[in-house]
This record gives sequence, structure tokens and C-alpha cells, in this order.
Amino acid sequence: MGPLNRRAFLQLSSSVLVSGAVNAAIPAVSPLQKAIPSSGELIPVIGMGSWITFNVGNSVTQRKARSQVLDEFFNAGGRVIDSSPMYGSAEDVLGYCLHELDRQQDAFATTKVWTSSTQQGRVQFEDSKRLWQLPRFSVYLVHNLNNWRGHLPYLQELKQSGQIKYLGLSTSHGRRHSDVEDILNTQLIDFVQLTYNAADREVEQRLLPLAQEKGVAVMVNRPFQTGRLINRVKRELFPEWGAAMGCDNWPELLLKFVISHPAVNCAIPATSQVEHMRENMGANYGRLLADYERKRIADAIRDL
Amino acid sequence: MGDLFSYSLSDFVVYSAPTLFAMTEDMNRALYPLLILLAVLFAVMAWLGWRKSRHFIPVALFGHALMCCLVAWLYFGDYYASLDWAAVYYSRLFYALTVLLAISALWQWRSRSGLSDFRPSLLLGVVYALTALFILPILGWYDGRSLTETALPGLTPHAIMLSLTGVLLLSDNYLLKMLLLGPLIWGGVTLISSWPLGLLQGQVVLPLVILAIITTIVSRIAYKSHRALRIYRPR
Repeated sequence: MGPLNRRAFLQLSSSVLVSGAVNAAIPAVSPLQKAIPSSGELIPVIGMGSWITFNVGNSVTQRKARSQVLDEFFNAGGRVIDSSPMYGSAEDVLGYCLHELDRQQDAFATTKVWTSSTQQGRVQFEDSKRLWQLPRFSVYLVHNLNNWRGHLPYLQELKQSGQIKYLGLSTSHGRRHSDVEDILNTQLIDFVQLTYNAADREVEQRLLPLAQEKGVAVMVNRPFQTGRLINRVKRELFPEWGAAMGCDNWPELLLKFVISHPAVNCAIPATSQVEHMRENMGANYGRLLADYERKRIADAIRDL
Repeated sequence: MGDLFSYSLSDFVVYSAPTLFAMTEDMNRALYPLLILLAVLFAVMAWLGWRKSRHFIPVALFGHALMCCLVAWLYFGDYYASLDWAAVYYSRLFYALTVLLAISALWQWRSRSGLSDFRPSLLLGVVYALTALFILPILGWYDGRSLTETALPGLTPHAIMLSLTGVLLLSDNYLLKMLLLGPLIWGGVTLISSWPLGLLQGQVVLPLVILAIITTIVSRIAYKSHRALRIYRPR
């Protein structure tokens, strides 16, 4: 090793400074991740939904604002992004934002087929690829079980041809749970998306244990009960026991409740505000909660 | 069936109120020269109505056919379609109304029917037209729209449906009043999104159209039975 001359000293010290600055922009610890049972692939526990929040039409101002939200999401270690043709312009806006941020390769893109026509489903898949500006999707789901018998064979074709990595179905608001149960028992799927939060816990009885047993990954929608849970808790001071669980705010605590269930792989809260995204992404770090801690959260929500 | 009842009105809303306002602002900015022509159209209709011209009803019907076509083509077919997949169905409703109103305008031009003799209908008709032009924009302000985000009469569905309801109330032709079905359907449809979004502008349409229908029924009964001579002025 040669002597440390002035030039070498400047190079060394500047590289230390630059790496320090870069490290300061990246969270110091890795995000919490869970493995998809069918492949073992790890995905971060906090994803992002786009229902309502990313349906902003052609407004350039609003699209740029959503790009900032998405930027915050990626910077906080997020990857899973969920949408559907049902959500108006959300797919188009996501495509715009991903392109603007040049983060297409970082997205674990999830979308859905939402039509009662099997033939139209094929057209919808091509439309979704065009709108997202992506060659393939990570997850492709049958939205609200709409014509799932007709669509599943096509989804299997897509998976075999490499145009999607995982297939599955979605439901929300606790609808058609018996149908979901039948499908979990009879079909080979990778993902199921359903509603679960500290107030709506019906899926704990049968669907979550069944998904775990069958090796199906669970993506949770409406973890805040479409904002109603946040409205309920925002009047309350954040409890000390919540801080003891490693959380800084109510959204983080409510998300930790969801993702700490052993069967759940990720939750996909939706927001249109950078500040709220920052709060949500707090749950992407730290530790998962124990059963007694989850029970405490559920009890607190029930008693509000 | 149980699944059906698990839906709430908010499940059918796929955008937020600020997004709708921003869309309207974009549309206003892009189409503002058209507003001058629409203002002229409204002025012509108002002048004919003021003069109780026999051309008022057919011109008003034709004017509303034109505006329904604009709403179907521009509002639902372009701007709103970027937010809501259901826009295509709303667009069809407004195209259907366009055709029916154009045919009705021709028919009324030939039949030369005039203004209603039922005073409450006349009064309500004028009130509805004024509401469409002046009160609805104020309700929009109450909803949180800024001046530039205001939904302007002639280009947006609520105002057209209310002013059309007014014109139909003013007409003395009962068959023509069957067209109130259009505003009635729109009032119901828009309530589904306006209620969860808390937008008063959309919520007032249905009750006002229902009031118009009740008034029409009452006027028909009064005409038939001749028992309400105090409020019914014979020809």
C-alpha cells in the first residue's frame, strides 16, 4: 500500500463523506420481509394500495403529487403495489409515476382482472401491461372472485408463460368467504387478498389458518377499514404501551397488528399524502408483535 | 344476497372529492370559450321564456339536447371517463336523452304547445332554472370547490338535469313530462357517489326531481278532476 498522499487522502475522505450521506438517506436497517410460501421469495410487509388515492385522472399536478408519495414508499423500502382496472385511472397513474421515478424494476406490481367476460379478461391483461408500462406482473388476481372459474385457467397460462409470477384472487369487506374457502381447498393459487384489520377479524377464524395450511400468501387490503379506524383513534393519545411495542403512531400500530399475524405476508394501506406514507412505512421496520400484544391492540380498538 | 347488503355506497366511489374538483378545473380551463356560447344559449332561452314565446319550449328542448350531447361527449366521454369506469354508462344515458330531446323539440315545434297553466308548475319551473344557473354553483362552493373548480351549467350533468326539469315543468304537454324519467335516473345515480363524498351539489338533484314529479302528478289530477280550481287557471 503506497503512502497516504494529499490526493489519496482527499479521495478517501470524500468517499467516506459520500457514503455517509448515501447511508443517511437509506434506512439503517432492513425492512421486515416475509416469504411467499409457494416460492420462498421475500417481500416487504408493507405495500401500497391505490384505490381512490391514485385515481387522479389526467391532472398533471395530482400525478406529480402521487409520484412523491410513491417515491417516499420506495425510499422506505416498499415494493408491493396493488391496483385494479376497477380503480379508474389508478393503473395509468401508477405507470406514469413509476416511469417518472424510473422505479419500474423495483415494483412488485400487483393488479387484477375485473370483468365477467373471460375473453375480455385477456384484453384487460394487455391493457394493464400497457397502462403500468410493465412487461409482466408479479401478482395477478381475480378481482372480487368475479368469474374466477373463467379467469383462473388464463391466469395459469400467464404464469406458465412467465408473464406473471404469482396468481390468486381477491375479496374485500368480508364478502364471499365461503367461496374463498372452497377455492383455497380446491385450486392451486399463490396469493389471496382479503380484508383484515383490528376491527374486522372474521378471517382469523378460518381463512387465515387455511391459507397458512395450504401455503397461500395473504395480502391484506383495508388495514385501516378504509380510514374509519384512523378516524376512531385519532382523537386518542398514542398509548405508552404502543410505544413499548416499538411503534410511534396509530397507523404504525394498526399495521403491525395486521402484519404480525403469522399467515399474513403484507398489508397494502392506501394514501395520497407523503406524511401518511411515512407513518405507514414505519411499520415496515422494527419487530413483529407477539400474540398478547396483538390482543391488546384489538382490545383497545374494541373499547374505543 | 347477503353479500349485496355488505356493500355500502362508498364502495361505489372510486375517486375523492378533490380529484373530481381538479378534473372540473382542468375541463373549465380547456373549454372556457365554449362557456360563452352556452351563456348565449341560456340567454336566448331565458328571453323566449320571459316573452312567453311559443318557440320557448322547442328551443329550450333543443338547447338541452345540445347540452346533453356535450356532457355525454366531453364530460363523460373524456374528462370523467378518466376517473370512473361507469362514465360510459352515464354517457349512454345522456346520448339517449339527446335523441329524445331533439325529437321532442321537433314535435313541439310542430304542435305549438305552450306554457303550463298550472301556477305551481310555472313557479317551480322558473325556480329550478334559476337554481341550475345560480344556486348549484353556490352549493359547489359550500362543497369546497374553488371558483376555478366550479361545475358550470351547460357542461356538467347536475345543472343540465335541473334546468331540464324546470323546462319540463314549464311545458303544458303531459306526454313531454315523461322525460322527467331522465333526471330521475340521474338523480338516483349521482346520489350514490354524492352521498359518501358529502357533496351537496349532487345530493339535491334527486329530491328536487321527485318534487317536480309530484307537482306534475298533482297538476294532472287537478286538471282531470277540476277540484283544485283555486290553484288551476283554466285556459
